Amino acid sequence: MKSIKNKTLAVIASSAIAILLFAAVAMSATTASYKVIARNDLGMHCACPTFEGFLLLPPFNTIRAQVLNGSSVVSTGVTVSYAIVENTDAVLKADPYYSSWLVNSPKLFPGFQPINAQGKIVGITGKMLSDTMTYDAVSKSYQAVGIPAYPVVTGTTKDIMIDPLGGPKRDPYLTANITVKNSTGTTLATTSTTVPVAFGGCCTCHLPLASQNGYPATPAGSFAYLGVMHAQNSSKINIAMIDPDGDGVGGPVRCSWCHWDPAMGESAAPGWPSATKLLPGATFTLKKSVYSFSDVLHRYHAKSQKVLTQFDANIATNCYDCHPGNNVNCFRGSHKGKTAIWCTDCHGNLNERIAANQMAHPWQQQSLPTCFEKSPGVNSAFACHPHDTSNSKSWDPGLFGKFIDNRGHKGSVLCESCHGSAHAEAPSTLAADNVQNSTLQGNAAFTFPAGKDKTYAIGVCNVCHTSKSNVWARPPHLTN
Amino acid sequence: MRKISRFTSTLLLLLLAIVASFASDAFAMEKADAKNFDFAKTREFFQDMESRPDFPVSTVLAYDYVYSLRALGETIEPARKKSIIKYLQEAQQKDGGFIGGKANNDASALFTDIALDTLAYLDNPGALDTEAAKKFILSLKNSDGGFGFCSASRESTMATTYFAVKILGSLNALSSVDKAKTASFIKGFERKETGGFGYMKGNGVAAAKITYMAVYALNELGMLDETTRKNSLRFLEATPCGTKSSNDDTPDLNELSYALQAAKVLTSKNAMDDKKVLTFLGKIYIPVNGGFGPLEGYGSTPDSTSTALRILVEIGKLKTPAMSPLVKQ
Repeated sequence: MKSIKNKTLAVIASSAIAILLFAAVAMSATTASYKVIARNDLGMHCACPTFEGFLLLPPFNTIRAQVLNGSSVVSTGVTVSYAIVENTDAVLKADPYYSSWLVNSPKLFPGFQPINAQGKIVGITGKMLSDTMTYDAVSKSYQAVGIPAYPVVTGTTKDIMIDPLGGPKRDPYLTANITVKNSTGTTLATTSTTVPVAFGGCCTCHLPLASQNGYPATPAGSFAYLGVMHAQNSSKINIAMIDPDGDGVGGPVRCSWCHWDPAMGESAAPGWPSATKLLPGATFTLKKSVYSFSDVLHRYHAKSQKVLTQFDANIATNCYDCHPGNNVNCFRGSHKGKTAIWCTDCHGNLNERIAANQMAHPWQQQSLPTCFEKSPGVNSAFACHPHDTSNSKSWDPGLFGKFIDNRGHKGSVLCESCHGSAHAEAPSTLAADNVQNSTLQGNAAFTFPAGKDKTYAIGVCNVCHTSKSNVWARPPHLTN
Repeated sequence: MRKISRFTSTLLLLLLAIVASFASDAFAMEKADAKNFDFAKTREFFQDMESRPDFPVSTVLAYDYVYSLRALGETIEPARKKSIIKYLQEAQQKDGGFIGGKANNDASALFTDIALDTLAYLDNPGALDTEAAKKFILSLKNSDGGFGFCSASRESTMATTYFAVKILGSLNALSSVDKAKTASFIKGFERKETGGFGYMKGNGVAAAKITYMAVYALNELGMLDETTRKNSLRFLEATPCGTKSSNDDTPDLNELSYALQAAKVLTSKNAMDDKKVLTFLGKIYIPVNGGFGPLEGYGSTPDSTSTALRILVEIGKLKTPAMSPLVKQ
């Protein structure tokens, strides 16, 4: 009897083990078949070290993640989340520059609170530093739009960005960890991607400009002189004498209140907050401009006698005078690595951009280059990629061009998922950008033709598919 | 025993610190030597531009290319010379002035100055219509003694007046200028308290670039007096890399270049500290391509590399490239 009982127990036990093993193997197979590829949308987002005077752009970063199960794009049944490694609530709350954002952002975006009821830092869309992502059927990706990522001092070798105000160097290439879980909380896939956010070069000229004109070489002095200069244009508006929050002090002014900016989601200037007052002595009246922020900013700098004679006669081609070049070098993708292509070869130099009236449609498909066409009016030294009419499944949300807002590979995969972020195309000259592709294509069974390696755009079928090919090659780009 | 051990380790640490300090100084000395710059790479950095079908791209880049290669002791190949002259000829507008790039049709004193300098370094003075350039500059003359920037921006500034005086001087046409009036206009930018000149009349700090422009123009006009000279030198000595500057001052590449050029106009060999200058250049040198960045930590650009070479010329580490006269003297 005892023996029968023992035998029964043994059978039950071995069956249970077999079932568990089977389940584990099955689970393992299921888990292993999931992949997630995440990218920052633009390859770089700008930030400013201070928000007391005026706001160019808020802390705002976007990550898009595509979850793939074999050859299927996953749209349901999973939870996708992200966490910015270098940005925690404690780190940002203690950061003197970010503190300026915490104080001034409710004035710049009336109704917005940068810290939510739970004490967590949130961006202007409500996204936290660690949060879930939402599926977007148009891009076929999970998105986190408006993450308030900000360059910080990490105390590591990643701190490469020069602080124009003289503080310690900061890390402009943050990291987002992405996790995909199923409904039971089991992790199906993980990845990490670069979250680029950096200061531009504006302060490098504007602080000395202030001191050369009798104002302190500080952000406040620069804002005061900027107001004087702005009053010299046809608007006559001294922006430093605008008091949007009615506290009796000039600023903070959001440039896009008057100059519409698609990067802020605008197609027309929204106008000033209702509480806006003018400081005593102001003789102008507030109005809205029909010109985009990109238009007035680029046009002024390209044409200004002051800019050309005092700072840079070659500003038309020196994009890093303003855009993040201060040891950040935001243009860092394969175009830079393999050739002498410069920003102006795709986008045009400032004079070309003005002549072609590009800035009437800034940040938009009408004015941005594609893989096959330069921007309108560009006299480039380099040829674009051969045109293939069938490899485009783009959409137009009114922001960004046909590389960012496009899917290929039978219309399923975002261009950026395989090729990397715009301006950081694989293989990037920044090692951190290449980690994701290197991991996905790091299987020892995968082989690469001469001159290519695992850092290149995803080209091994078996990264996602099973039993297709382990050899890197150009995958089908066709829509249908 | 423990005390001795602690004493010994402290002594060792001190010795290490002293050795490290010497090593650091030696490293700084080594850095502060033009021999550490790989000029062959610098040459290649500029010659990379030649492969561009739109070479020389813009007026400023044409100047950067020509000046830099000449400063490095190169002669410009006839084919390149031809391309540059053709570009400059196309950049000259009907009014006689030059533009900065093909898409910008506003000729200005700034780009006219850069174009004529490029031509002088190319040793091909007859290639451009200098008479038309002279007329263009004279058309910018204002009643206050200063000159404007372009036909659409006629306000006199210190910088635009410098361009006009420099160009007219190189074209033997200063007789068309009321020298006393122009000198009086320029002196309105002087900073009596600190010495040097500022960008705006009355307000703001002095800057090396505008000081150079002012003393150059005054010298060219024969109006550089001893008081102005001494005051300007006083200012230059206090700029970063000046002999009376603090070691903590961070130089700005452009400002440094103009401070050195101003010191040369003022015939001073003691205003600037060449060792500090070389140490700074060592910090902005980019060994991977032989270029120089505009600031420490920045990447190299043709403009900043050309400026760095200019600095090396000014401190005698590279030969001054010859400029041929634009008109018969």
